[in-house]
Order: sequence, then C-alpha cells, then structure tokens
Amino acid sequence: MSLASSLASKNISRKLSRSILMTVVVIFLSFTLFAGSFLILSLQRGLKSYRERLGADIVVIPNSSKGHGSVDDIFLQGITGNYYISAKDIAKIEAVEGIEQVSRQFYLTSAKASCCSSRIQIIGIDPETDFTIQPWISNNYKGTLAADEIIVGNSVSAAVSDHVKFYGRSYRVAAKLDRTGTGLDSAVFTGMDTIRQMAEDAGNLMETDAFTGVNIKDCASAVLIKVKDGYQISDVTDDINIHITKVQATSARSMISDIADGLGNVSGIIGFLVVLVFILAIVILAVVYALLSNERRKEFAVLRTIGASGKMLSGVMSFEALYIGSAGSVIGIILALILSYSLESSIKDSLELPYLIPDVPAVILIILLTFLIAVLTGIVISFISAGKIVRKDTGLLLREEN
Amino acid sequence: MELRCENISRLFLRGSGESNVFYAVKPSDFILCEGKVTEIIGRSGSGKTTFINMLSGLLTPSEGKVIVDGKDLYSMSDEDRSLFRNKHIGMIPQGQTALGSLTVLENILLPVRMYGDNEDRLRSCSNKAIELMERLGIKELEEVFPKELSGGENRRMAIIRALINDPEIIIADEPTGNLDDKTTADVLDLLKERSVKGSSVLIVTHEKEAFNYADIIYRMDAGDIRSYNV
Repeated sequence: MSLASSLASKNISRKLSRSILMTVVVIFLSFTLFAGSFLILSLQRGLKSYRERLGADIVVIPNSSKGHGSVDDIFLQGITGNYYISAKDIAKIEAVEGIEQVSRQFYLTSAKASCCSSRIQIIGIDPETDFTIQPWISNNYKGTLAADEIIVGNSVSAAVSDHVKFYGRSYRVAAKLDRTGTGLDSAVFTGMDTIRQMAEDAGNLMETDAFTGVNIKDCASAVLIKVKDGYQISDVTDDINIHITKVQATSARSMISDIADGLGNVSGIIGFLVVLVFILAIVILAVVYALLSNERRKEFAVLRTIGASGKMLSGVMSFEALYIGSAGSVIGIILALILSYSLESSIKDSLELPYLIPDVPAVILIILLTFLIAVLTGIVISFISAGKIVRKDTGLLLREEN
Repeated sequence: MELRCENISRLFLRGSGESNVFYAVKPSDFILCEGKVTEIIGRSGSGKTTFINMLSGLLTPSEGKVIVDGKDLYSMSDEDRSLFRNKHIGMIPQGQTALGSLTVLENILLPVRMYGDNEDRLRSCSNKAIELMERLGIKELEEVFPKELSGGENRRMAIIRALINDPEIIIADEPTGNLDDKTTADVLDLLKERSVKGSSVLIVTHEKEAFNYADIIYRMDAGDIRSYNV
C-alpha cells in the first residue's frame, strides 16, 4: 500500500465523524442519481412497451364505453370494462376506405377468480387476424389455444398449467407473458370462442347485465385498425367518426402522444430534481472538502517539511475521496436499488403511466455510471481543493498557522 | 553537505498596495558549514523563520539562490525538491507538528516510509526511532496519539522525526521550546553529536544555554542577518 493510500485510510478511520459526514453526502448523491435514473428509464421503457403493445394505427371503441374503462385505461392501468360494438357497425368500419387490416378484441370483466384478489380484464383475440397482442404472445407461446385454455399477464398470480375458474368453468393456464409495465400485465387472454363462452356463462350466472340486447357471437369490444399505405390515419379516423355514429375512433398515435407528454412532464421533473440534487451535493462536497483542506493546512505543511511533494498530498486527498466515494456510493446504490424494486407497484400506481423497470444489463449500467459519477465527483473536487493549498509555498502555510 | 545562500531576500505585502511591501529578509549571503552547529538568534518577528524556511526549500525567495550540493534548490521541480528535502534535510518547524491520525512512532517513521523504503531499512529505522525516543524520554509513548502528548513531548517527537533519515542538513526552529532544562540539554547534545558526525546543523533559538553548543552564531534584526560574537 502506498503512503498516500495508507495515510488516507488512517485519516478516514481515525477521524470518524468527519468521514461519516462526507460518506452521508455521497450516499445522498448516489441514491438520487440512481433512483432518478432508474425511474426515468422505467418510464421510458414503459412507454416503449406500451407503444409496441398497442401496435394499431386506429382504435375504435363504442360510445357506450364512456364512463367505463377505455382501451387506453385497459392498456395503461388495467381498468376493466364491458362494452360492445355490434356486428353491423363492425361491418361498416371494415368497409371504410383505406383500411389494410382489422383486428377485433372482446373485453370481459371477470368475477373474482381464484388467481386474483380483484376483478380482472379478460381479453379475447382472434389469433388469425390479431396484429397487436399476438406478436407479444408468440414470445412465450407458439401453440394454438384450446377452448379451455388461457394465457395470463405477468402480474396474474397463476403459473403455467394451473387451473383458474371463471364463471364456474375451469381454464388451464397455457402460458404466462413477459412483463410490459402496462395494464395488460394484469389481464387474461384467450381466443374469441372461449371468451364468448365465458360471456354466455357470465350472463347465465347473472353476474352482469352488460350483454342485455347484445349478440355475443358477432360483436366485439374494440376494433383495431392498420391503415393502408398512402392513406392518412387522420382521414380514416375522421371517416369512421363521421359515418358510424355509435363508435369513437381514436388515432393510436394521439393516445401515445398524450402518454408521452405526461411521461415527458414526469421525466422532466424527475430529471430536474436529479440535476438539482446533484448540483447541491457537488456544492456540499466542495464546501466540505474546502473546509477540510483549510483545516488540514497545517497537516499538509508538516508533510511538505518532511518531503511530501504536491502530487503526494493531492494523492492523499484523492485516496480519501476514492474510499469515501466508493463506500458512500455503494451504500447509496444499494438503498436506491432496494427502494426502487420494493416500491415498483406503488410508483406505477401513483404515476398512472406505463412503468417497466429496466432489464438487468441496463440496471448494471446505471449502477456503474452512478458509482463512477459519485466517486469521480469527490475525487475531482478533493483534487481541486488540495491543489489550492499545494500551490501555496509551505513556508506561507506554516507562517499562517503559527 | 554545505548549504550556501546567495543574495536571498523575501518580500511580503502588508495588507494591499505596493507601498505596503516590506522585507522580511533583506538581501543576504549565508553559508551553513558542514560539521558545525550554526545558531541564529533574534527577537520575534526579526525574520528568522522566514529565513530558514527559504533555506529548507519551503519558501521561494523573492530573489537570490539557495545552493546545496552544487544545485539551486529552487530551480528543481517540486518532486525533485521534495525528494531532496526528504533525503537530505531534517526540518524541525515551530509549534506542534504531529499528524493527528498517526501514532507517535508512525509520525516518526513517516519520512522513511514516504518514498517507499524497503522493509529492512524500515526495521532498522524503527529500532533507531526507539533508541532516540528512549534517549529523549518518550519511549513509552510510541503507540500514543499526538492529542494525548504534552507540548514538550510533541517537540521531542518532531526532533526525532527530523533526524530519522540521518540528514546531512538539520534545520531546527526553536527546537527546545516547551522543554525542561534536562531535556533541552539532551536535545542540544543530540544535535551537537550530529554535527560532529558531519551534519550541518542550524538552530534558531532564544535559549542562552544553546550558545554553549554553537560553533557559529548569527543575529537577525529586522530582516538583516549578521555575524554575532558572544
């Protein structure tokens, strides 16, 4: 161990209260950096996932969905709803000019099921035509769903091969999907025939009056549309809204842009706070190191009289900053990691935005960057503080101290 | 090793403005002879400490040169000058100069460890430190931290630290301040012994007893250094 590093470790261990104070500042800095970055990345990843899940250019839902959950609510927050577009209106939608592909979805709110503490949304899709949910399902399940099989979102408490009961009938879990950070994580997916069977069961069990006057066999809750090349999404959307009165068409891009705006605002505030705390921590560190350097002028002068070079003195300060920075940032990062993971669902609920925690490589990258920034900040500040004293003649320091 | 000053001086600013410039040390020539004890006496504020700080390579003169072993101390780089000071100059500054986070023995061995000397030398220096501590009456304090030391014990620690590398030049600023008569005599004996072995010893002192150990005496008045006859 070099003299500079050995002196630094002795200074730290034998001036404990001073060392603890500085470590706390670094903990504060690294905690904020890590937690802030983690939060912003989770929101960005959530938005990306949401965009991928939505997939369509236009989403059409019935006017009757107002006051219930909208598609946006289901996708984003998992708020459930039962609303339906009649077969006649679906046919009209499909006949609008400029549509390349159409996919129907059927939504059904479950009665309390064995898997879940609250009602959940069951989404029926047609694997033949679906271009939004199916690609995501394909990541985890390649087969064809049987009539008594379902696929569950990542937050649903059921494992593959478990049996879950809906409206008195048991269904086998064929697959569990990857986490998306959206409301779809708490949804259950199945084929059109199966969900219609469930709807019939629900009606028979009088669990809901949502199907009164509805022809379950031909209706759908939402129609997702892909627009042909050469057609404007806004034109097709307007066309549907003008000519088909019982439905409301919304451009998916506008839904995403609303969320992106919200996310941009939240990210902006978090980013601003992170920068603010970072600047505050730098100022505190600079003041602490400047005070420390002043307090240690005599110590530095003595080291100079026995032959320490300026470089050596800067080395002592830098090693101290390295040790304190390493300890402080490791503690800060661990605290932030624990808090970020344990409060994941609370954060997601309170922000009401797509929230998907970063994958492991991204988390490792944030850890490394936070560690480097926290440690380097301390080293640079200590180096500057030491430099001011080192550049001064030792004789002048001794003269000032005596 | 002989240390020679050519026309060195040091100006300071008192407050601000050029009119407040004053000479702490007026342009002077000085030779610190090998194998002799040289003493500088003078009132407080006469410029003694400023003068010896320039001699030790700790304070850049406003003009002039400090030549040691044929080299101008102030034309060396900071690294070279620091290394030179560590290996050849034993400096005992005024006041309490122990590093608070190190024990007495660690403080004393600091100059040996500074440039990574080997374990054998560290061991022999450690034995030498114990001998010197015994001689100056602080042997039992080797594991003690400086805050527990009296002023006199602290001074003795600083003296042993300055001698531990067997420097050819020893510069001591009031080395016997805070010491009782017996310890003062022990310290002056020790410094005299070093000069007999060939070191150039410079002592700044107020102690009349120190005159008995001096080969050459200078007096400093208002930044002016002159030969002094007892």
